[in-house]
Amino acid sequence: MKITNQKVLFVGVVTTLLFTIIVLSGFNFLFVGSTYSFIYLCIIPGFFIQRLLRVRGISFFELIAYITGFSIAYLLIVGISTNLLGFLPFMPRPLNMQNSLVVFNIYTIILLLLNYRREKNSLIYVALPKVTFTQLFFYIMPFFFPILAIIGAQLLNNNEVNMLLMILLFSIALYTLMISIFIKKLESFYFEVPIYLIAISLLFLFSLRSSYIIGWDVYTEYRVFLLTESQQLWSMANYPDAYNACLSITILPTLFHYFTKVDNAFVFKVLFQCLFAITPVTVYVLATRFADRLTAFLSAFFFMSTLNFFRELPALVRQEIAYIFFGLLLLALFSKQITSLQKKILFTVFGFSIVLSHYSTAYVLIALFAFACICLIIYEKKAFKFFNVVEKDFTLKPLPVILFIAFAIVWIGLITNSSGNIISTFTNVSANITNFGHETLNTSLLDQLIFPKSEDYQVLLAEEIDDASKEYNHYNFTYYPKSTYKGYVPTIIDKDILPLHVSDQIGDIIYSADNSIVKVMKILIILGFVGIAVLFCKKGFSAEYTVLCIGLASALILITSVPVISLLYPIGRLYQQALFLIALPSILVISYLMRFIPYKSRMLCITVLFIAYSLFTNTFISQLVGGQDPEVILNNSGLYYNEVYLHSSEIASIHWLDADNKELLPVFADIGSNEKMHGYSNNRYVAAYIHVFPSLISKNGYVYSSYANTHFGIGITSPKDRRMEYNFPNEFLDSNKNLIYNNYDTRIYK
Amino acid sequence: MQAKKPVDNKHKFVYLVGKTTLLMVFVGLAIYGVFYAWSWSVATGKVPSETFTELYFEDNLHLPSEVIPKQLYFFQFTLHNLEGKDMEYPYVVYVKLGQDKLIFDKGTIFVKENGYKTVLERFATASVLPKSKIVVDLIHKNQIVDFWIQGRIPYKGEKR
Repeated sequence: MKITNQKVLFVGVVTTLLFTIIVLSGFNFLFVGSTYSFIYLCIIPGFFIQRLLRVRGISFFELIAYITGFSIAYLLIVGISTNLLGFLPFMPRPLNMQNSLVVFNIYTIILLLLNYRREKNSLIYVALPKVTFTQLFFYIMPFFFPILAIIGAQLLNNNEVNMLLMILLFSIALYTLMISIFIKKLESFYFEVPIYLIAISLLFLFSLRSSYIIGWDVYTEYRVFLLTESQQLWSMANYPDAYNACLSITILPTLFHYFTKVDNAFVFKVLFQCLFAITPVTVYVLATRFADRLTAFLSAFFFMSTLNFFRELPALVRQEIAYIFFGLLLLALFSKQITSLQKKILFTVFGFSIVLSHYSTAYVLIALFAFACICLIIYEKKAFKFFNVVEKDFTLKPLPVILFIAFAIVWIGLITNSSGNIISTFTNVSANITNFGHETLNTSLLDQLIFPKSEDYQVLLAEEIDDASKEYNHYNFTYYPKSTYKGYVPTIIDKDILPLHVSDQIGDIIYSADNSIVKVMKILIILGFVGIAVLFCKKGFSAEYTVLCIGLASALILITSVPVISLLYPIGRLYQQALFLIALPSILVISYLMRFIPYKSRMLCITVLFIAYSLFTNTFISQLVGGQDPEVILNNSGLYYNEVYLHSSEIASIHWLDADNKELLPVFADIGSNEKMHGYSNNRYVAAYIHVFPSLISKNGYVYSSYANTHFGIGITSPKDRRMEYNFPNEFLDSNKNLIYNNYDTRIYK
Repeated sequence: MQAKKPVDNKHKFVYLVGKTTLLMVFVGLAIYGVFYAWSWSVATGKVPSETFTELYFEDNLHLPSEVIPKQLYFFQFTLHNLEGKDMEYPYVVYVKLGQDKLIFDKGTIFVKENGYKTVLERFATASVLPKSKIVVDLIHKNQIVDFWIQGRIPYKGEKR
């Protein structure tokens, strides 16, 4: 069926008009306004941009992914443009709702007019797929996953059971297994639908814990978002920090908040997770270019099964947005349907969006693309000689790559002046080369696989206190005499181990299986890199794909060999980034190694392996078996719960302290509380003293005791970037300081 | 082969619009379901959101610390009711001397939901006290705030 351009434009005008009315009227009966605005913002601008760029001949869901990416990029441009109104003398707060809507509508009208002129005679061909009964079942089942995740997380927040979440994790595993079994009946099945729904459920597992923001970096992300929104202006002067240079966590959430009326925290907790859930879909679509659909599905499943995906990334919003663009950039790079010029345009659009979204991802890509570009130049010159092939149609040619790097330098170095952390990293790297292993506990892959290091946590804690006391000597603190804390010995503790539900022997067997599977996965990743090279020689993968994989492998080796880099860019994030490309070859390698087994049984075995891996990483098994630290996604206890879960009482005391500390006296708060203060105190101070040990506490300072500090006597510390629990010095505080604030859950001492 | 009549296209368009609308309704319902499920679970959760009472000293940088006998000292504490309902708070204020408690004020404070109430306390000591604590205790809430005092003899010529 054909749809004319006029009809398309008519739909564009009507939906835009409706959107404007909803935003202006504030209509949001039963969340209808929010839902409509969110869908509109994600689809309509991107759809018309896609038409202008004439990205055609690709599958429906690939198109949706591009459209969403274009829409986000479009919103960034709308936000920047609105913010530029601040240069007008009479407009000190340009980024307000009215201005944003006017600019948005002006741009949209231009977009529609351009479409009208350029696409006058174009037609859209639409064919709806036929759905069999089996397919219908496989489509409907995953729609329950997000519902289970939402209600399950809410029940757990209310101190009830985690049963629904356990059912969810089991259902996802079962669903994956059933897909593998019934793959023959799913010939024209769109795997993008379940992948998206599984992704969003897994992301909600963490993001919907607590009624507030939850995580680590996300508190500072939230802070710069609130700053932009409250000042109605994005400016580096608001908060001169690299976080503030990320438009993905400043301008973008501000616009989403204005247009959808969703509460600030839930822009991060819900809307951005809905956007990020597209990323595994891009992994799947990318994989379908080189492999069958089941293998591609398993690649996406592998990508979603890592702890980084569902526990770290929902708390790293800027990285989530950057990953969306990275996935789309890769999709464009390896698309066979779009032309070379279109690829270069898409590379530029998505590349620039990454730079605007997240500095670290941009740094990694500068290195990666520069490496790939140089390799491809050499390859082009030597390819014919060595490989008897000529591949001329690369996107990673000098011009687009130089353009990308130049834009990054201009944005990060000149406009936002936020390149300080990369410079300090380079300085520290040179120091770290002669000081191996000092900064972090990260070890090389070889160490992890063959020679795992066992560190004495107590020794680490002592070193941490020693290092901190040297640092604190530079401050003008008056300390308490030693006699006041002679009874206190800082000790690493682990109070919250889940009770073991099986015998010790069975528990040991299960957890050694867990260790083995994790090692198998690491070996698979290494083999994946090797497999890429082999498949390249057999012309299974293009030179661009291969070079990017080699670049990522080199980066992984570098980051594990020079630990200080991992402080700037934790290895888990690079690993997740590598999985975009390496998940597929890893599965192809294991499939190759098991090639003596018939295809169906082989794929079933591989599926079972990945399901087992996911059930271990999402802690479903350890929850059943016990004997391990409870995970925050399934429990109201454990290290991460104590560190990151934010209670209303904590917000109240943080606000009180913020208002009361008029003289800006030092505040001592453990690392968990410190992160929360970043997000929820106002802008006057940042608690910088994260070592709450009696020998380091200033007599003049405040001490903040969080929910976990107060109720469980647990403090969180982070020697060498590794989170641990220690005995919080409550007794010392009661004996030496005034207890000036108490709301039962939290306390403030002075 | 016959060319397609315009009327066929028209019917097909209506059919397509109908089918697309149906699909969009399903997708919309699914997304709406996410929002609705969340709002429903928030609204019907058995345990209400966390409720609590804030208890704190006013002007905490200037709480009495060195106490001269027979001189009057003042301090204030405030209650902020975030319990989600009006509350009556029985309280007691005492000096804690080792294991002993010397109560110098007690009573009940009524605070409206989300309201504040500040109480002024005064005390004087008859003799030089050893290091001890002044404690404000919300009896039924198991919640206290306290500060340390140390008795001393007045310096020569120091005003009493």
